[in-house]
Amino acid sequence: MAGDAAAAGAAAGGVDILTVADVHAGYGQQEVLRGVTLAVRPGEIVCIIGPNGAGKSTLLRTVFGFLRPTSGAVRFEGTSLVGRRPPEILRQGIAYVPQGISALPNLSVEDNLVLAAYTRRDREVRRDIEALLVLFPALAARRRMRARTLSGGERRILEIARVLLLRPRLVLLDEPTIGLAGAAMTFIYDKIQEFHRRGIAVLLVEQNARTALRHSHRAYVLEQGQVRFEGSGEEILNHPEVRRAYLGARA
Amino acid sequence: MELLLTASVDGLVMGLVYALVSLGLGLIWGVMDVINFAHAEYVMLAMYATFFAGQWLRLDPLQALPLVALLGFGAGVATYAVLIRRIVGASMVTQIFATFGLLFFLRYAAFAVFGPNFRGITWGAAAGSVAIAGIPVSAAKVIAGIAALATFAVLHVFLQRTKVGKALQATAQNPTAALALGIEVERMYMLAWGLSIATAGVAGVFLLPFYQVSPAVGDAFLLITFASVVLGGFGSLLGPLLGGVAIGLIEGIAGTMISPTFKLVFVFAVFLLVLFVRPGGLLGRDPA
Amino acid sequence: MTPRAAAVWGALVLLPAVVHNAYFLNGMILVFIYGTAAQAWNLLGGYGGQLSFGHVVFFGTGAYTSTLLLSMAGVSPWIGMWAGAALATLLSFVVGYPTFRLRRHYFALATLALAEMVRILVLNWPLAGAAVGLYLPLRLMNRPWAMLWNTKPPYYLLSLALFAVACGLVLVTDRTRLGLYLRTIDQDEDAAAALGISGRRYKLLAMGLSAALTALAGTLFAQYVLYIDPSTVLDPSRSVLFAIMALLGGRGTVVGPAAGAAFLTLLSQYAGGALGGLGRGYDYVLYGLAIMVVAVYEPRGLVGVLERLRPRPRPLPGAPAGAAAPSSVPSPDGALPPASATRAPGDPQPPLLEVAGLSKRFGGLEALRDVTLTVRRGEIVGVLGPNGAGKSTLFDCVTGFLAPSRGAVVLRRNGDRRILTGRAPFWIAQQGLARTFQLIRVFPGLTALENLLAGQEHDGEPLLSVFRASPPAVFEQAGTLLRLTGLEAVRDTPAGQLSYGQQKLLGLAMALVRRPRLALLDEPVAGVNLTVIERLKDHIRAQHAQGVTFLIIEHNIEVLMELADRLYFLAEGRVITDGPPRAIQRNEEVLSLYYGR
Repeated sequence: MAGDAAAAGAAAGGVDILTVADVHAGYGQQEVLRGVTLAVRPGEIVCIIGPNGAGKSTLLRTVFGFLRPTSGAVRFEGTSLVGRRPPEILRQGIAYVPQGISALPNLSVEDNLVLAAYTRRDREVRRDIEALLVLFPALAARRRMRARTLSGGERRILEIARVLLLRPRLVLLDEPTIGLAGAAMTFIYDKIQEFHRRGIAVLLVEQNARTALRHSHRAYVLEQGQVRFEGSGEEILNHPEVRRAYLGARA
Repeated sequence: MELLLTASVDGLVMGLVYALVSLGLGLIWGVMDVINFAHAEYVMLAMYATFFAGQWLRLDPLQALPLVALLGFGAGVATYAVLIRRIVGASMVTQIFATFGLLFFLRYAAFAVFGPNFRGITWGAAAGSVAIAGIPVSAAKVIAGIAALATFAVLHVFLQRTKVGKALQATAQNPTAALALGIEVERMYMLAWGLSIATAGVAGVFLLPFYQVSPAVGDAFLLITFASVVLGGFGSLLGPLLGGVAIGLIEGIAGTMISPTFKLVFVFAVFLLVLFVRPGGLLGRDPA
Repeated sequence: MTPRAAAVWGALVLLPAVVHNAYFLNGMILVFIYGTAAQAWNLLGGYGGQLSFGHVVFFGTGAYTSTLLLSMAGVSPWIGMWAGAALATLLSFVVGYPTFRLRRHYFALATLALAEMVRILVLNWPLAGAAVGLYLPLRLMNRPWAMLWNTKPPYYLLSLALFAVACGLVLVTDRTRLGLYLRTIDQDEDAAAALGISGRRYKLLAMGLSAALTALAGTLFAQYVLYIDPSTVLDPSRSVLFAIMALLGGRGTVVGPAAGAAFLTLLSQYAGGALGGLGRGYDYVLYGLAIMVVAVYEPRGLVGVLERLRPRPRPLPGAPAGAAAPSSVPSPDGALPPASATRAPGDPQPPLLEVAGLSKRFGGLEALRDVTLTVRRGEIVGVLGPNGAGKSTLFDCVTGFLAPSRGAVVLRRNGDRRILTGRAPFWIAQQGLARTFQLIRVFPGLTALENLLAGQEHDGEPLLSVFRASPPAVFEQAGTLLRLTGLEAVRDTPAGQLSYGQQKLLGLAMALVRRPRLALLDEPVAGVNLTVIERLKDHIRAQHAQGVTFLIIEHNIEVLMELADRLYFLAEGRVITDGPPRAIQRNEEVLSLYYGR
């Protein structure tokens, strides 16, 4: 599967949709990203793995504008994203699903979807919402219920699904399957493939590294704020050095 | 028994008024976790605005309502832009400090400009009394009670049924997630402040016909509004509504059945009890 | 006392002999009385961070108690004032005790509510004169035992004396451990609890002193003004006045409230504005504006502004002579004994910490499921696992920051068992547990040295000992730690200005100052560069060699492999397995859980 996807990725065209070049970023005194360089091509699924504290989430937050890089460049479809705030970056065509709970707990599933389309001004929002609910019957069954009554898996589905309403060209996912297992996890990855089928690029950060790697075209391994390895999903999956990065010397 | 009924009806109507005065305070508290000690001062200013609208523009309260509400909205946005914006993430001590300074500034500016005397109006349309469950209640109070319910209803519809209202709720529930959806959190905060002070404006308009204004009036309402929000709980509009009504009932019943002079003492005693035992209030979540 | 200060006080004492202008003396007397109240407010609100808006209730309590005792029972105000102070203290505990654990706003509101309640009660209490008020018995004029004179100088000297006492009390607080502890509680009450400092204890102490002192000022006010009623001694705007004096002058400083009191009182006196009354109040408009500006730009008030213009190092909290200098005995910070030297391999060590069946639920989420682990004396035990495994939750449950839903935490000390489950964090810390936090918690407004001093042993400290400076032994230990962690150069820098790595080192050192039995470290080397990692490891090893047992959460596998004797692997709230590091590294289940399915 990774091989097919790689071929598909290559066929999508050589121009990168997202480029991150030697980015440094951190929180106050603490520098977390120490010169990260990576790229995502249109329609690709790229995953970032690495030990905790490596800077994976920080990277996504920096791309989406929650954090301003102290140096380096971030470009989306040629336009610089540095210094722009999240709502602006959203309007450029990037969607972001943060780690943890991002569904609005006291609003209904339907209201969560309505809000996902907050920035859209066109008339087709209602139609798209209905179409989305058809695609995700679990959500349709609970459309009027408050998001906090959903199970962990259902909530995650909501958080990821609603992104489609924005018609983004790139989606940033921060640990989409954390806390999930088995069928729920498979379902999420199916939907991630759905993004790919619609030509939407995905940059995802994962702890469940094996599954992520199996579903990704390319991957980067981040360690101590820098890229240590990059390659196709399959290459990284079988790389002995990567195991060391997770579990110490002589694993 | 008759006495209890009178006390309850009166307390209920007054409670609705308290709820209206507290609404704005609860709104800001819930949306951005800022506690505006100066909230009652805006009600006082709204009462003066209504008074002068009557004097200079010959407007009765109902006619003055849109004007005062609009002024309130503007004042709220201005307050946010000039002061609150700078203290949003700051320590609690700084927040208390700053909003307290605002209280002072507004109250004594009112003293300086308007002087200490009480002013009131008589509103022809609200003269006399209305019978509720057989008990006569001042018409002006009843109108204020109705206005309170109407304001809550309007706000409820706004929050639950409009896109912007839902965005405001989202900002209150999870600002990061809201930002990630493209909601401009700053603008939402501004909107919240505008709405908060606008409701203070509405409260002021309907208070004046039966409650005289002086610059110190905010004092009387300060503790009552806080008691209402704390008692009723945060997190929804229902909190200040229930809390205000509860306070009104306690005040009314204690005042009539036990002692009118000490009715506030009972209200504050209940407030302290709630603080000691269940700071989250009747409805709300426990504060962090 | 500095020569300059002595000169100022001396001049103040001699003033009435030289100046006879009654108006001026009146102003000064009010400055001293209000200044006393402002300093009293400062103790609680300035150092302790608990802003009280109802402080006037203590003022009024003092005034009414002593006056009633004098007019009704002929009790001398010299005695009556202490009755007033005692009553005020009691009242303060009633409102303080339940609200101290809540957010600051609630305390502020509670004091306001209390003040209003008392005002209404007194307003309607015929015995106390109700709205008419009470006159002091003028027939006792010029009897010193009745504290009544018809000239100003005796009042001047008496109020000056009280003011000196108030300033002295604040000075003592500032320079001794009480001030240190209060400031830690103000800046981060949880971090203070983790060091064994009981927030409630010291806030109550500050509250009691504050209320008593304010009551004394109230008595003196009554004796001077000769007439009291609710609108003068129970008026809420007076509370606010005390607070404003302290805030604008500079809360949490010794000089601030004094300067604030002098400035505002004299300004009011000579600008003709109504002080405490409800006149035109232009001056209060300015005060309001000033408070807002100060809150936003310089919370330390006038003193803060002056300090920016002319920075002076904070005087060391009562440093004994010579303690700040490097120790004359060369310290062995070169060669450190290897970690294994203190443990004879194979020796069964007695268990120190036992966690049994610990579970924690948050609503629908089960963060910890039936976790059982043991740490033996002298070990270094590591805890690793993926994000969301419950590691920090485990620490929070062990150290008392969270109450577990089920299960028990037991500490074994010299044979006896102490049950830690459900106890308060400061108490657990006092049993010999220390911890660091995942997000660094140091006290940003305290210098590096002061941070370390805060970490001294708190178990069994008698309450009054807090009025003394830290003992020399603690200074020694702090000095040693500063050297070992390479922080000597930034000893007097506020911790908030240190780099991340420096703060991490400081956080670790703070936890270990008192050489705890067991140290729980939450990600001690996260986010720092290799040099700092080495320093941190050295520090841990050095402490371990001195007998400290460690339980460490870390993601940095290499560090754990080097330091730990045993590892526990946690995932999804459960202990998956435990064992020596090599075994864990090779364990298939660990690999799959950590590396992903």
